[in-house]
Amino acid sequence: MFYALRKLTRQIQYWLHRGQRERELREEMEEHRRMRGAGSIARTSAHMEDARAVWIPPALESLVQDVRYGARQLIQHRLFTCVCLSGLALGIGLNSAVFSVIEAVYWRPFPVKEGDRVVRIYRIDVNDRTGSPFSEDELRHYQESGSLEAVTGYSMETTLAEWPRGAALSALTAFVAPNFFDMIGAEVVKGRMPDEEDTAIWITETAWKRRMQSDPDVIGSKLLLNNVPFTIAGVISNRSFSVANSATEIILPLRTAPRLRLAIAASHLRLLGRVPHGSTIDAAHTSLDVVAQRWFAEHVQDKRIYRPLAVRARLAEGTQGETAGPAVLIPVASILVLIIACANLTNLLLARAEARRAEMAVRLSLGASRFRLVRQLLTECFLLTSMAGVLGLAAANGMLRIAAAMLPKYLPDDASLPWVDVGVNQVVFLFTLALCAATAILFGLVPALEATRTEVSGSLKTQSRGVAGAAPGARLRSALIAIQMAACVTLLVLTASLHGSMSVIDDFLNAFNAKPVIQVRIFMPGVTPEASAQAIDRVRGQLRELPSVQATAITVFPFLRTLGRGSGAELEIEGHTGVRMPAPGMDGYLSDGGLDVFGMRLTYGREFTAAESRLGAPVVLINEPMARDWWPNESPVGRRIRIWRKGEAGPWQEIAGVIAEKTIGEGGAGSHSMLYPLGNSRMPGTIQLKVSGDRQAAISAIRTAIRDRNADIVPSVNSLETAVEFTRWAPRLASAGSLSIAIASLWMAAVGLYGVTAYLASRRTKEIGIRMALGATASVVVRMMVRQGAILVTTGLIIGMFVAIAAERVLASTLRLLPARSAVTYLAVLGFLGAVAFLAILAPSIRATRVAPLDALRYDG
Amino acid sequence: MGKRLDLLPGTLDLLILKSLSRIQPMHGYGIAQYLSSTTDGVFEVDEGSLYPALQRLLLEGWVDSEWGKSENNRRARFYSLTAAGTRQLRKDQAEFDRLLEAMLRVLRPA
Repeated sequence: MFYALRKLTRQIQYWLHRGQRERELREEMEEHRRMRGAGSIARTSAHMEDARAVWIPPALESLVQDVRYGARQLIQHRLFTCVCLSGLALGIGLNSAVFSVIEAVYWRPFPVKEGDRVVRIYRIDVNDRTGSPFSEDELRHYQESGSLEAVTGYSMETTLAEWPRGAALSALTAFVAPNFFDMIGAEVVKGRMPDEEDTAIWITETAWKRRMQSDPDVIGSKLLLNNVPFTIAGVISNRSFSVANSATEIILPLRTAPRLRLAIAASHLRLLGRVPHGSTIDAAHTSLDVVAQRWFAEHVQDKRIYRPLAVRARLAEGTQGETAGPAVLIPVASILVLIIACANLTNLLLARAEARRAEMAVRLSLGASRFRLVRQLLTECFLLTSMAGVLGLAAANGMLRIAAAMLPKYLPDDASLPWVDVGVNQVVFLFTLALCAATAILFGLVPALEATRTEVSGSLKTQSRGVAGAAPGARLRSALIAIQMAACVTLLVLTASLHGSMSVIDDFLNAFNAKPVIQVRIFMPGVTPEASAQAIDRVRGQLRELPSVQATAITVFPFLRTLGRGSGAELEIEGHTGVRMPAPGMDGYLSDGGLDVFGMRLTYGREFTAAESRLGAPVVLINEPMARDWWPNESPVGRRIRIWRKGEAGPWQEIAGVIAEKTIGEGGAGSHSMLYPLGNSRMPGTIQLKVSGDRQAAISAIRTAIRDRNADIVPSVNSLETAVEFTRWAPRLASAGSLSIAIASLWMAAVGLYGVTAYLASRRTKEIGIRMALGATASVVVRMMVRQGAILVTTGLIIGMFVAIAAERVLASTLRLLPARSAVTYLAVLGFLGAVAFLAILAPSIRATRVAPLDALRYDG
Repeated sequence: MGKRLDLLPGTLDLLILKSLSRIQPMHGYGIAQYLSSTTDGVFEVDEGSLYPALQRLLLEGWVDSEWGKSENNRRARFYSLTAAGTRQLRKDQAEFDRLLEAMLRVLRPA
């Protein structure tokens, strides 16, 4: 080992001083020959080679030559290199960036100790929905059963925290069982870990930074939690808490919960388990089932309510629900970009393969071995892909940097981001790079294989070439163009529709006057929906008296959460016998005063009265597109509709009014939506206030007013704008992402088209020369070239369009995305690509006609 | 002039090492001369074999080289054995002796 190292060092030293060493050797050998009195200098070089081969393996030396030659080739064919590199770098960069984020948000196991063995324990109810949480007795039951290596529990509540500096704010608080920290492997940033008898509290790192401005004296500070004083004993990294909720700010031992006088339900714990080493989740499932059955038999009275238990493992927590569309579509699109990049590369390499035939033939006839040629081309491919890799990595980093800069700067009190600071994932990056390298190698080798197959003398002579269509490989290239066009049209149409659906959200949000609106949400853990509704009503009444508050309403708007998800319900309209339509997916609940708060107008009718709102009367507000479609040119007020769910008819509801806004849901422009009186909602509402004057002042006034008069209530007060900003960042990011994808794909499509058509045109230089020599004018030749090229491109575009339409249908049905709303998108995309293709054919055609016929006839490029 | 050196591979290395163990330092021409005169011209080593072999020994670290003045006052590179080279010589010679003995037993049976 040591010996080999010494030898290597000597080799490297030789390499570093090889010029001097070789001069010395030559001198020595010439001196030797002189002393011997012999002549023959010619053989010295051969001997020198032998001597040098001792130090540097010939294979290595020729590899260096290959690299040099390859680099020279790449520099010489600058256009080819730039085109390949830009496409590959974009493809690699985009895919690396997109999948790094996706991996971080969706695929990564819990960032906790041995997260791949941590499972969530769920109760599944009769409808296969997640059942109620667990009680502390149940937690003990599972812990003692020994079916898993460890079981722990936590519960999330919202408390009112009065931070040492700054305001009292609602804070997401975790109550954790004693073994929780150990189970998740919590990292303590500052302070100490909790012990068994603890009554202190811990805060998370983000809370420390956000609420205490990273105060170094945090340990030992006092914090009022629901007016109860606590001492901060430590700061804990947020990463470990993402298993519960990464927005957690405060952590308390479960046993301190009673001190907070929270009305916590008996079953409030969520359970986490650790599957034993070497065991599978299925095995854990089975053993847990047994334990669950025992508990079920002993303790559960109402056996109809839930089936005992099911285990689901390693679930990635993220925002799947909210970003389902973009989260699937963007990766699909970026894969398409990669496909286009690889198709481009293939095309260009194939085109170059033909151009290099002569070169290969010359080298072969000069005695290069087939192996040497293959290795030469492989080296070039490696050079190309490694450069593309470096550029791609830089591009991916840049894209992630930009994406991170687009994250919202202000968060609502209790919100968290699904990801921050995602770096380029190495595995993802290497995979993408490997894919490109494989393409490069596969098609980069074609010149070598082709050249070594062809007869050397034939290739050395100028090849006779017919029209483009007859040239070997032309059909493959046409197919590639068609594929590329198809991918590109699909991509652009998808991007346009994604972008469209994003702008619908923006339109919708802009339809409101969000600026003066402040939202108040109230948390009353463990309280019945009725009691909580009453409390919300009471607080609304109190806030109405504030001088800065101009209007108040209560809403339940699911619209800020979901993206056009179908409800499966059906709509029946009185008088339209037998006609049942899919009901608008979006419906919201609104109290009296809602229109005033949001600045919405009515075209017909009236809004809900306070009594209707409270009682959940059978009335409904519809939007203008719906009114227009069903009752054109007349007022629908007084007409009745009803909703069918699972084959059962709901009560008839009378239309009370028509809202003038285009949309009150995210269904897209012209889609139908309805609003019901608040009393019909089973979810607690959000108080919406329209305020005058300074918003920040109003927010603190509202917080104080609520706290002064309601000891039991924890409010979260945010401006609607902050909330909207927060809900908009993901769409905005998706929108920016899709835009960059679109630009990338356009660039690549243009480049690919240009490269191939230009190449095809250049192959015909000789033919054009003959035609021109025989008297054809430049315009005739150009027209002929353009006509032939246009056939190729048009075929590609038409095929592409059909593929795009089909792909869009599939995606629209699986993702419930909006279909592209007009043929305009298609026409614009086709027009643009057509124009690019036209230019790509025209430019080289014109160039070809400028070549003097004699040169063209000699031409053998 | 004797026969061209056509021995088992690695033998030249052994011969060079042995020569250097007798007289050192020696330059390349000196080594060739030494081999030629010692064997009465049977081993006439030309520079095409000698220098690659010397380079090989340098690479292995068995010989060391230094530039100096030759007997007729010209620049020449002088080679000398290193400690590792001496060890290697001993090992190679022992191996060669065994080989030679074995060959002799076959070629000249008693």
